Amino acid sequence: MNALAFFGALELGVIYGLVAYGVFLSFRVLNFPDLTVESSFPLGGAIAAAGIVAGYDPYLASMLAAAGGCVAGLITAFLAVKCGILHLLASILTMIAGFSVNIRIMGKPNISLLGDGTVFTAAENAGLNSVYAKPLLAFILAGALLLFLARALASNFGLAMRAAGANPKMLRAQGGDPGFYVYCGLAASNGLVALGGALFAQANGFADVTVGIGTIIFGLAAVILGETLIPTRKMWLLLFACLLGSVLYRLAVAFALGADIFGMRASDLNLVTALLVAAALVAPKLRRKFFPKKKNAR
Amino acid sequence: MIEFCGVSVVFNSGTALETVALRDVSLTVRAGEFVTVIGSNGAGKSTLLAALAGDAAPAKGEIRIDGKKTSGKPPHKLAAKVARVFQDPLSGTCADLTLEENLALAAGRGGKRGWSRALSRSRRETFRARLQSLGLNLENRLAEPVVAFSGGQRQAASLVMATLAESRILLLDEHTAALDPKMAEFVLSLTRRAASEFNLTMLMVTHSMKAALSCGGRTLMLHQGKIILDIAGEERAKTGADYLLRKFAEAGADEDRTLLE
Repeated sequence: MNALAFFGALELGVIYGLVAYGVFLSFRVLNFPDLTVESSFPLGGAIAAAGIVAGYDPYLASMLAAAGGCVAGLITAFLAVKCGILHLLASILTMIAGFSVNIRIMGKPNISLLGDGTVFTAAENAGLNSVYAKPLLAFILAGALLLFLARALASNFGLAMRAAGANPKMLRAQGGDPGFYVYCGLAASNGLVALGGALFAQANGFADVTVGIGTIIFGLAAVILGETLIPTRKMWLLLFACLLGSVLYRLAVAFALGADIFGMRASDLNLVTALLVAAALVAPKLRRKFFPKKKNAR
Repeated sequence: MIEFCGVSVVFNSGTALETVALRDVSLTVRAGEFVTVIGSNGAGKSTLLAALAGDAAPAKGEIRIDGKKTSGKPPHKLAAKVARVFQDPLSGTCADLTLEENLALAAGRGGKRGWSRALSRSRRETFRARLQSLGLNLENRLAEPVVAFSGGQRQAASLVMATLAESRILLLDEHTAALDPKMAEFVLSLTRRAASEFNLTMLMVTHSMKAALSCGGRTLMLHQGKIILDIAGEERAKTGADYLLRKFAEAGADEDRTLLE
């Protein structure tokens, strides 16, 4: 793997780290399997690209993209909480609808950003090589978001959100409305994912309606990989594990694609990722079966 | 003060599974009163508590707390006034959260849950002091997830949680039923202590005649959704478990005798 491929994987890993944060919030904190991310990721790219092409400031366009993701999350939450649709199905409905909405926003299935200013342009103009500038900027953003999210989850509000996922009955008895926290959590989750999508589009120079396929699995792979590497209960460490998991996952993929010995093609990525996630989900069960602990609290 | 005015609760209304859990129940509980509730399975004991807490909306009638109508409100809106301990130790706590996180959730009951840190030093000190009085060494296990605790430890912690934030009413729904006899007796003694310490209006559902008569100052017996016995004071002091069992037999709930010790 050469330096270009390495930094490319690093950049991708950090950008998808935002997706991992989002998936962590929905899957792990809220216990809400949310497929909305499959459309909120390209939505972020679509809004950012359409905005930039229309002459908006790239930073403003990125923030609008995040806001768009929040709205997508709120729609899923509305379908699940208010309409009582099963959470998985509610998120699939938003995901499917999002595909059409994304094409409407862009006016076509994809937009090229070559030659347009992006959030990375300022750093590039300052003399930084874009090969390093992109992962560096993405990392600064991911780090800032990590601190913010960790603090949010340590607050009274964040604790109630965790209870909404862990034991809604208990939260109700303690005066919290689990539905309210589902709204907040899914909005934040999809906002993060859409911001990731906006960065992805700007880093790669295009927005495409199909880039969302597999987003949920990439996010989940990062979350699970991180949890395996850093077993902890501390929120900031868990978030850091998401970021680390995402980066390591991308590096492993880049390595596998770069090494001819495996005979892998770029198009094998989804298959390999799905296998990886399935294996990671089954592993704890197999471990319990073959290596039962004598004293298990559950 | 708690008032039930002609309250009926119906589950699965209009279907083949329709069950009337409470039938036209009227009841007044004075502030500071500790009432125990007994009855056979399906008598409506738990529904009485669920209706008061907002989990079951009455089909007819009205429930008032301190003169304000509360029936029809969801449970989280009533939580500021009504604290609860459930039968299942798993229900009242979040297994994957630590003990101190569970306590912090309870400390915020009924209040705004904002941006400030859930676990402050002063809060931890309060938690430690309150847990210390249990004598279960839980004060040194604040950072452990609740999943590591036994059912009895969880119920004891649940009682602390229910009395951390101020409330008017405490509802205990067979909170000792899932515990071994020794632990059940211990949790009951904690319950009596909480009653005298916090000046709460309490309703306690129990399957144990002994506990029903030894706790609080008033006992209700429910059968098929109706209150068939309501005794307090001297009359109750003279009553033995035998009398209650006879009452059950008269009501035709005899088959549940084994359940009632």
